[in-house]
Amino acid sequence: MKGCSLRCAWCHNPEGLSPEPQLKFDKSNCIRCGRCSTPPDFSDPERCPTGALSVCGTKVTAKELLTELLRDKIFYGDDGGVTFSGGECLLQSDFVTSVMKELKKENIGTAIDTAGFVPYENIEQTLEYCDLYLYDLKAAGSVIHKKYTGHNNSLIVSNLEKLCHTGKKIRIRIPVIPDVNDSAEEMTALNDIIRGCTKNTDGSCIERITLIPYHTLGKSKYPNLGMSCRFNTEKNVSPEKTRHLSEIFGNKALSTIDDTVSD
Amino acid sequence: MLFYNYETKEQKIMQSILFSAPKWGNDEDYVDIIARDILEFTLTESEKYRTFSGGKQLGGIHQPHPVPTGATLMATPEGRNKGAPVAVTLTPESGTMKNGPTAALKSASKINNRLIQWNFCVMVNYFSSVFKGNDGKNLLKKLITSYFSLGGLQHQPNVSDVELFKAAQAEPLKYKDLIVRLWGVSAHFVDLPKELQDEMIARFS
Repeated sequence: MKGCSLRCAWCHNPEGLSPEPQLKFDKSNCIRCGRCSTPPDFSDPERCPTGALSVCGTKVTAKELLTELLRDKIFYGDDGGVTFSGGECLLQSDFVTSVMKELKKENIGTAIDTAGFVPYENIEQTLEYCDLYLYDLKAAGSVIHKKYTGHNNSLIVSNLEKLCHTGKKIRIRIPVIPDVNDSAEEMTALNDIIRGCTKNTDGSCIERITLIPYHTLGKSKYPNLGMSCRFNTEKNVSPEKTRHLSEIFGNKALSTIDDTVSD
Repeated sequence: MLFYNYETKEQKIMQSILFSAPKWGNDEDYVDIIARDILEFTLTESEKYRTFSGGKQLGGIHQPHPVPTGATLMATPEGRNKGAPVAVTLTPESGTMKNGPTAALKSASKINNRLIQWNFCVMVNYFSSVFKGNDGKNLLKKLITSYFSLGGLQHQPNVSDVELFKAAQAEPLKYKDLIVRLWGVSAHFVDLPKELQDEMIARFS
């Protein structure tokens, strides 16, 4: 789902930020055929023979999406299914809910990948039809959170707390960003937040906590969309460090270094 | 077979258009039914004949070696360059697999498997990280068993690594179907911007 309510400086999916369709130009595929206008407009991708010029984001109806999703039904298996992601998919919770409702009729597993910065009603609406929530936490400190994502984390934390009390399965995902939250203090504070959210529950709703180290793979996408990336660091987070930080979260923790990432 | 290669600007534009037409291996009935009709017709016909010694014919798809065979062939109307490798058996032609491996397998499963006794393979290249994740083994198992339950008979998953990336970067046209997956994103490696390719090579070296 295109469109996001946060503006994380390190965002690796810039195409998910704006809710509007965007023109995308990939110079390396251009054969200079000259069929597009200058500057290119939204009718040009149709004329582009190589796909160098494309539209990122199309409007689909719930029914169209469902048809597409059902094509692969046989491959979902008993524990697989459909994950709604973004952007922030819960900004379009009406749409997501209506598709999930149909998926449930087909006995297909459903998951939502969210950063939690939406009115709680948007989450609540999906509870009946969603099996699993992949819930992002970016930083514990309010100042840091506001500086790097545009908002403080109070709504995100209070939504997580409410979600924990519904008994739904949750997987927490934390990006580890150099010089932002890659410290033991930040991670300990995040762990405290998670513990606070599960207070008065048996804590079993949190299935796992995954630390995802910063990477620069998204950077090259910005210029193709005519955007610029405000987060510029040459630093990396080492596998050792990620592993070390993940120990703070106890036995539910997982770092995506060893088994490189199926999440 | 064409008597010119796609060389001039006009021919290159034409090639791009031809190559982006609906192709086998994307779970699109429009083309898959054409392939199915031709194959099933040929397979059914050939079974009607007996061999010299009275034996039955076996139905199958001739499987040439893609590289040497391709090297001897002129350009072809679907957009393949002169000398480029050819697609084999039920494998989608290099660079035409747009909807991922599940769609390729679904296209292949549309052909009546009872008519075929040999050479029924669908070959797909995967980057090793696809199966290295937490549930990697299960994922591959599920993919294959699902394909078989659709009626598929043979799948060859090629799982590749960093060395292949480097080769793909040097000669992108040869590796158009290489699929990589990272943090929930699947993409054709050669379609990724150069910087991103470099980063992935660095990350997995």
